[in-house]
Amino acid sequence: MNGIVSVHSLTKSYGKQKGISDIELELYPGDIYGLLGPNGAGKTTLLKLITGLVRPDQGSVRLFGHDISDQFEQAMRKVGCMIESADFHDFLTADQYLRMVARFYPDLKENRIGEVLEIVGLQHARSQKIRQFSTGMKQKLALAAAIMAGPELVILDEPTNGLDIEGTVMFRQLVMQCSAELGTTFLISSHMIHELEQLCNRVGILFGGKLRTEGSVSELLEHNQSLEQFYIQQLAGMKEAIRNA
Amino acid sequence: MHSLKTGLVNELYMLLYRKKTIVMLIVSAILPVGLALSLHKLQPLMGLVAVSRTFPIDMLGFYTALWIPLFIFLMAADLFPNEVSSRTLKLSLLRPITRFRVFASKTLAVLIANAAILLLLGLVTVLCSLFLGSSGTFHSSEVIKAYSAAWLSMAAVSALFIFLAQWFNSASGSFAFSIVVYVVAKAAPFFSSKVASFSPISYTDWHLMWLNSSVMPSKLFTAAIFLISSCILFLSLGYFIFNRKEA
Repeated sequence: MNGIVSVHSLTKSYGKQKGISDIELELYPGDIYGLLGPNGAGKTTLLKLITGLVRPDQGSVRLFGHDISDQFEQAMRKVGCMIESADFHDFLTADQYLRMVARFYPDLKENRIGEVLEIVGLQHARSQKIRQFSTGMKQKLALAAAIMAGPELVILDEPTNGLDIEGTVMFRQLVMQCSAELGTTFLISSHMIHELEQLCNRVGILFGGKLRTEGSVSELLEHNQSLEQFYIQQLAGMKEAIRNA
Repeated sequence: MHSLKTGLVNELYMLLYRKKTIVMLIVSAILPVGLALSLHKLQPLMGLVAVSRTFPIDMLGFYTALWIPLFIFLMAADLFPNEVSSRTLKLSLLRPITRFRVFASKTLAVLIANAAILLLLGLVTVLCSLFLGSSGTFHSSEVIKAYSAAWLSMAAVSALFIFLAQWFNSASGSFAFSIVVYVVAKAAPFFSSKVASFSPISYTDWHLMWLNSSVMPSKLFTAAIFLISSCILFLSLGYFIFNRKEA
């Protein structure tokens, strides 16, 4: 079965600082993959490498069968992303920004901007300058931009950062709805482990720049009370192994 | 090509959404009108001072020496280092558009903005010259020739400062450095005449060469080739650095 995301031997270092090393990752259609790991484990670096924001020292990334290093446009055509913080040109309004995004996808319906703003609950702020937005509103706008073109793959880095409870529920429903109705594949990096437990069918734990464990959430939950318990156990084991090495 | 067109349209919209671009465009249009009106009022008092039929060319000299380069520094700083420092470069890079096309769309936006200022200046100064100027023959072909030549020299200046902007991660640093480089490059020919031949900044008034019938066509051709080569060289180097940037 061909993966929607195929990552092979992906390595990136920042001088003496560790980045990530030798990552192998395969995502299949319909997967909701949760990427877990402590701060500095390399989650954002991995997502930046997958989306071409950062060049790898070694290894390759293929999205929908297209290598991002030489077929970037084809690779990114069906991808929606939100990487790191939600940063915008704050002199634009939400509408102006989303229009800029929509121009890249000529087949979009005319009212798509209104639709995505309604999905994320920002329709009231359509004509508002982004500089007046709160962190949560910016996060919602970034989500709206990520799903604008009805992507088959959505890559999200800490998507619930700054979202209030209502926003977090909206996010969960959005992921579930896209997955159930459109078969959208998700790659989500988050510290909100309970959220990931409810949403994901697969998870991977990144630690010290390496993808140490991977597995299906249902299988992991057969042997553990919760994903949180599994994660804490795994992390303790990894730290111990590194100490002993 | 769709992605390049989209990138360019987005960059042009963003330039227009920035208040400073609008202010600079308005000032670009008002300045010659104010000057022409002042000269028109002063003419009875000062005799010789008048808005002549060469007013569009006279104003072009000031614009290509100071005003448009200033505009170029601002745009280059806004479109490149400012996008890195405000972490908005990723907004373009995460769309289905290659880095080359992102760079090309930003560069084309600067070149189109230069053309827009020149067009605005040309129209305003021609109108001033016609309505407020002294009598005489008006050579529209010369104005078109001079403004087209000026666009090429401004393109070469843009290429140089787009390249320099790639070395900075903050707009203010890039803007300040551009001003220093420009002043030094303008002053350098006074100390060494050889510098003038190899600096695109020395060609900001080369449109005058096109109006001088004694200048040989071969000299115009050589200068044009130099300016085009400068564009290619600096834009290639600029892209080389831009392509290695991490967003």
